[in-house]
Amino acid sequence: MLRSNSRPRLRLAAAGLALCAGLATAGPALAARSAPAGHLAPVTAAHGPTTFVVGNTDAVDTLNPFNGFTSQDFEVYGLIYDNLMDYGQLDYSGAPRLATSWSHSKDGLTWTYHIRKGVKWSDGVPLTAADVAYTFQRNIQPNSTEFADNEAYVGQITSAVATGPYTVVMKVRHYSPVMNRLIVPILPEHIWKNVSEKQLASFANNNPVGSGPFIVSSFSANQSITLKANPGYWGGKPGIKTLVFQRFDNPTAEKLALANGSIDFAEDLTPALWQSLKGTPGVKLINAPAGNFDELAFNNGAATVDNKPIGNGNPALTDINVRHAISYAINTSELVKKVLLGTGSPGTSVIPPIYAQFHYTPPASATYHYDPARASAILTADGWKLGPNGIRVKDGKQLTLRLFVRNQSPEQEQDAPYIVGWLKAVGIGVTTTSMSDSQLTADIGNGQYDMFMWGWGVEPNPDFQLSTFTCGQRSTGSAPNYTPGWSDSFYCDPAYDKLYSQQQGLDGAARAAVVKQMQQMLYLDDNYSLLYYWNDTQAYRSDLFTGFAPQPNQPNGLYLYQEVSWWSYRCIRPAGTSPSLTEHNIGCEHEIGAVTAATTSGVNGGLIGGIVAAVIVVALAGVLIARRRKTATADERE
Amino acid sequence: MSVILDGARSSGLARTLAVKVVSAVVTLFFVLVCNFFLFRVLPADPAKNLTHNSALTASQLAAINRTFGLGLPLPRQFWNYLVQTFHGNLGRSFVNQLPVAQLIGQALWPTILLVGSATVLSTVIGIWIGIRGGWNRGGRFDKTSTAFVNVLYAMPDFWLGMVLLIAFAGSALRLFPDGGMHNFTGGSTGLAGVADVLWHLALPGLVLTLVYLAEYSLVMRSSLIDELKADYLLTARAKGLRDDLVRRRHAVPNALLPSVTLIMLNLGFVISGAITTETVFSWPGLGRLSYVALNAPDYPTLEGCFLLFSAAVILANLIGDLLLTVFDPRVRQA
Amino acid sequence: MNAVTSSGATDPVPAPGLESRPASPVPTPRQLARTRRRAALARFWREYRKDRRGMFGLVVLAVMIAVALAAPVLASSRGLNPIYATATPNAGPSLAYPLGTDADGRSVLTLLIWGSRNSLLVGLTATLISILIGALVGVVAGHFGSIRARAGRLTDNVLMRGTDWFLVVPFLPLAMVLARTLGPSLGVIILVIGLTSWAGTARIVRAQALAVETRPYLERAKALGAGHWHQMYRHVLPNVMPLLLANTILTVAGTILAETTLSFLGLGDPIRPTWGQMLGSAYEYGVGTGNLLWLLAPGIAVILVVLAFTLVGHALEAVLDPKLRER
Repeated sequence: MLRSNSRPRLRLAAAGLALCAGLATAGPALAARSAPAGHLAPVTAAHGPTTFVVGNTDAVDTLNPFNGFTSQDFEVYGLIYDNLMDYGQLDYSGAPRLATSWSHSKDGLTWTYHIRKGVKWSDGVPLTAADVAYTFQRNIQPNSTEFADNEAYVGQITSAVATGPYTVVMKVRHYSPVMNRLIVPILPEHIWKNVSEKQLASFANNNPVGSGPFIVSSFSANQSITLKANPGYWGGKPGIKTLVFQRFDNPTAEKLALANGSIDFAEDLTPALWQSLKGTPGVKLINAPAGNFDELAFNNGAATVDNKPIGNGNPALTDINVRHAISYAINTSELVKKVLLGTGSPGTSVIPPIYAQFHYTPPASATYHYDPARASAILTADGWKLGPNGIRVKDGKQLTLRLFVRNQSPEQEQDAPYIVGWLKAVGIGVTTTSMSDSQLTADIGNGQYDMFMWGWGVEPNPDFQLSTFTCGQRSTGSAPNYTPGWSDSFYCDPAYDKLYSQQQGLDGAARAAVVKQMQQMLYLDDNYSLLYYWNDTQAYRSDLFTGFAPQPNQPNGLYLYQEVSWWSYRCIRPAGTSPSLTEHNIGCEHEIGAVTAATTSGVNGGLIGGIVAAVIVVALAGVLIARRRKTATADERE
Repeated sequence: MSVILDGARSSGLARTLAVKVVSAVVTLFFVLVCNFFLFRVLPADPAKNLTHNSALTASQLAAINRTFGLGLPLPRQFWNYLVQTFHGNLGRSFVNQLPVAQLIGQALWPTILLVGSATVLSTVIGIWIGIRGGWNRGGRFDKTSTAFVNVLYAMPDFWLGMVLLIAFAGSALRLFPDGGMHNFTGGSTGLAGVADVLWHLALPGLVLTLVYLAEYSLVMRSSLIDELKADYLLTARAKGLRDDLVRRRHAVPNALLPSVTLIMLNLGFVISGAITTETVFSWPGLGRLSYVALNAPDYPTLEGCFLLFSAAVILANLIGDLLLTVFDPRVRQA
Repeated sequence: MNAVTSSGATDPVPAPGLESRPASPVPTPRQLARTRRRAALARFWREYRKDRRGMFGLVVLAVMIAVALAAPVLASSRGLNPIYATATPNAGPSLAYPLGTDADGRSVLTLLIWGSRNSLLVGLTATLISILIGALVGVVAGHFGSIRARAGRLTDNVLMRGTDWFLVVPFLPLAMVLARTLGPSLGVIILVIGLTSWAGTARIVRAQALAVETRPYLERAKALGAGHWHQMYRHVLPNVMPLLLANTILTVAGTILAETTLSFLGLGDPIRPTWGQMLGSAYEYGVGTGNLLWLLAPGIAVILVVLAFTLVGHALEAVLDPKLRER
């Protein structure tokens, strides 16, 4: 037979397989070695109890805060740099961080900030007012990337000067309440003065020097970043030693990783994946309303800042009746139910309800609820007659619109066929095209679209979001490639612009009134058909970590990825450690106490054991007390 | 570039080999040209990609265009492209401005590890299955293995990957990790590090091994069957030599050569063939790099990957051709 | 002597008194050709029937094609529209939903049935394009390549260099770039797969054409003054046909697999379901939540169809080329 030829080969193959198999089984053994004792050791938990791993589908792509863009970028910048102030954990008001207190002159044009003493940069150099002044001076340079990034906060500042080692005086053009909420990262002058404006775009900043609670220990762009705690942090030593942000290619892999313990916190899971984690032992789910909305945007007349029309948008969309019809034809509640699986609410105005003081709720009579009959009636009255193939026609033109869908959003991709179906049902034909974010942005900037779906994350200061609807944020430049501004609605109304300037000088209830008025204008003009406000569905291993400080401070507040805030990171600690580990850290007085593993619905041995123990303790205590009583009575009797 | 059909008309072996090498270089150059034009024709705007479309000043735009060498006339760009590629400079990524050569360099080893180990295993196992099956054509082993191999051949590789992923990493079994190449909290060096990588390699490696061995075993089997019908075997039998001795000493090695060469030819494609498997298992190799670059879109990286894929195929073809020329006298005369 | 006419019946016995008339008219060349072809077909079918695996493949194919054609009868197309789907998403199998539901609550069985239409359509149409281009290039290159003149060799070389590029640039990256540029739709996928997979066919056809060119009757045709086009169309092509047919069937298997890969990577048509698109959606929306049927069903369907085409293709090869028989 073939023995002499096949045997060596067979042996080799068998040896190879055996080696692989042996190593494969050795792997989990090696890995499980360091899992926390006393609970079912997840197979792949190869990181120690003081290492906190966060999973996301986004990643840090650059450590240069002026070039950052993704949500993950900003999450990390807030950990390695301190801002001048924070958004408060309870109500988003300005909270001290590097600025301990501040005041302004009577006319509101001069602001004085007192800088915290005793703060050191991660390279040992002391942090002084000079760094603050330098940072702001850099940020207010006209036509710079720095200005573009921070304009919402520094837009009115004309100068920033250090008048002492711990005092900074800034001057503004007119009274700006935002000076009470300067959430701007402070950079070390001794590093950044060597980076010129020209060099800014290519400066990688791979070994950032910051004053924040964490220091970068290793960084792999677009993959993962490892941070270590800053033991000398002025705000208190963090309760964890190592912090890792790991990017996953897709949410499915991320969910698997949380379920088997490779990561401790999962962000950006799809609603379906999040829900499937219910009942997983040791995993706690958070359904947190956040400042997010997704919209269906229209091209109702793309033009440059010089009012020159651009692009190839379907002129039918410039007709407000068509836009209203589309808004009435879409069943946003159904989208919340089917696509978000209930983790969200139907959308109305552009400042989400989580910001209760600013959110505008339209009256029921003016809300675009789901009413296909009404949508059809509007279109018919507008002159759009149903054609033979079910698509409406007017003046010989068919009502067929293009819908652009981002291929990077599973939820929006799932929305698309619904929208197509609902619009078809009222006689509007839709062709969908999926594309990348950058392609879509280019198309939007050039006005070459009809409709698209996208979303925004709105921060506690509504200024930026409102600014995207001003005339000045439309595209600039010339054909064939226009430079986009922040506007993706090409909305332009001088009255709106006036209100925008007005609210910049107001505060409190007066400002809220103007902001609501602006939202009403936008809602009636229907340039965005808001689909829904989606919640941030987070999940974490409550059996391994505790001490989160949610924002707003309530059980279903955001645990991480808070609105321009980083309260939890300073406070979280391994499960089972004492709260005293971090409760004196800045912002941790409101941390949530130890959460037992009994948050899941399954039978939990720990819970039963705990109850039994508690019963025994109570019984013992009762016996002891009874005994004591008797003794006391005896004593008293004595 | 099939030797049998193009055939050099020279007598010297050296001349034949030289012609083949020159031919490979010419094809490579042709690929360079086509790559360049393919990616210039596609709409690309690195400025928008890099800055994520935030408002740019004119001077910033100019600076970015200068970095990427755009805005120059096309022939000039082409010349720059040729010169730079020759020096190993493949440009900068649109997404993070890192040198493409560096990105590809980082992704090259994981792909080679994955694809290389799968190829070795699948070649060995596939050839063994093919020989055993072809040896006793129609026998029980042959029937079962051919059926099994045909089903494997019909399976989409990413589907097999997903099924294995769910079965072993997702369910209660949890025998293998759910993706990636390293445990990302990292820090495992030395033997523990090697074990960690091998453990992550197990599932994607298994998928590719199964997918490749299907084709290799089929090829080996049919080439052995062909060889077993050859005339010289008849002669040998007539001369009185023992059947199995003859088969073992002559038929199998003769059958092995064209199969190994065909496998060699396939090798060039395996680097790009791992795209879907790397995506399913988040394996940080070239396939995944090109898929991520495709979605960005990050054209310099894509272009670099293309070049590497094509070069791999050309190189593998060349080696396969040379092997065949040197070792198979029948072909040399062609 | 009774001539066999095209109807297969023998001539009637001549009427009395007419024995001296010729028995029947000599059959025309066309009739002869038709007769020969039918006999060949019958012979072919007899041979093919002997191949058990080929028969299995044929049966599976017939069932698949029947399902695809009968889709509107088997499952209402309303079931494809998510706005009418009321079932629980990602549900397990039940009486109303034998294969469970997808993330929108649509029946996986409905998607599977309608998906067969689009998958087979893409596979067959893309193969058609691929074969047409490949055959054209192969025949032209082979024909002109066998001419002694330099112009002929040049044509052959140019065509082969072009083919080489398509062979050397790996299919998937090229297809990915083209699909991403041209936009996701069924038509684009068909075009992309067709355009990127013809090279292999071209090579095989060229090799066969070169072999055919050396046959004597072709030399005779040339001597008789047949032009290039006539030679290629009337002589080379028919002789290349059998090989081409088997290659076509095998190519379909490849194009179906290619379509599933492209759709899985998100480059396919997001609206019209194909099996590949189902696999991609299942992975993104279903698998993580435990919905395995959505992943398994289209996968098994693809395996069956590709297997069927492969078995039929191999059986065809074996019947048409005796050397390949009894593999």
